[in-house]
Amino acid sequence: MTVTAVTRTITLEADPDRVWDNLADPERLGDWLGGPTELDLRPGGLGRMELPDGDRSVLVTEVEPGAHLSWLWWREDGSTSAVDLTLRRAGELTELTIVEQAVLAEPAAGSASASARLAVRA
Amino acid sequence: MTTNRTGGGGAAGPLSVPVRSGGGGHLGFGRPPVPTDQASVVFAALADPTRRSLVRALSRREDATATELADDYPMTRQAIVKHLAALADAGLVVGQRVGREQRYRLVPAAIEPAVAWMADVGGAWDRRLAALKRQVRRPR
Repeated sequence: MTVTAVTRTITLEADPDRVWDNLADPERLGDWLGGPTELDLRPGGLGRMELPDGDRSVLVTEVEPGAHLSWLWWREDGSTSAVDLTLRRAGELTELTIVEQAVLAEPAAGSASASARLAVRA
Repeated sequence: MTTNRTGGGGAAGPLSVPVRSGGGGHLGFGRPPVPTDQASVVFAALADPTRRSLVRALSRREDATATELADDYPMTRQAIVKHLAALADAGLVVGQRVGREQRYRLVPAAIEPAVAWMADVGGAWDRRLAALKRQVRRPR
């Protein structure tokens, strides 16, 4: 487990193809994400989402119809995270797992500035 | 110890896809920015298992020197000092010279932006997934 990820799994009352229709169509995707969504749904495709908790720019990273969708999204302040949605058939239902993981700032371990700052504090 | 970039490698992979550049601020199309917000900085510092362990160790005492801390780790005092410097950069630890010694102590409040991120992101997905659950049930 990393310290940086949020994970949720839910069971949806629809088969994976039907669930996928609600992910792959930007208008329907925006309906449940909560705001206007434009997205070019292919790896490398770009988009924009105006969500209740803030606007995002989006870069699609993986598309596997009926099974998997990943994107990177970032806010105006630069905070960026990777979102993975995975569908798994469970009988006639679908288990959807989402993982959102913060894309980390450059680690500062052992940098000259880190050491210098410590020295200054001393 | 600049080599342990846990988490950074996997997340950086997708950035190699070709994208159009340009467009002004972060919300313009193009490459995602390198995050500098406080939650990301704290996450980056805590992505390393040794640093997480040092935070735990410091949470159990008032303060400690790098030498005292190094006793519990299979690495040099110098390596511990570098990890402490990374934690200090993220504001999680402060060092203070006491006599000839540099003593380090934890700054528990510094972890709050990271905790807030987890809570905000989790809450947002709870709301979105509840909406998706309703949406897939509706006839098209």
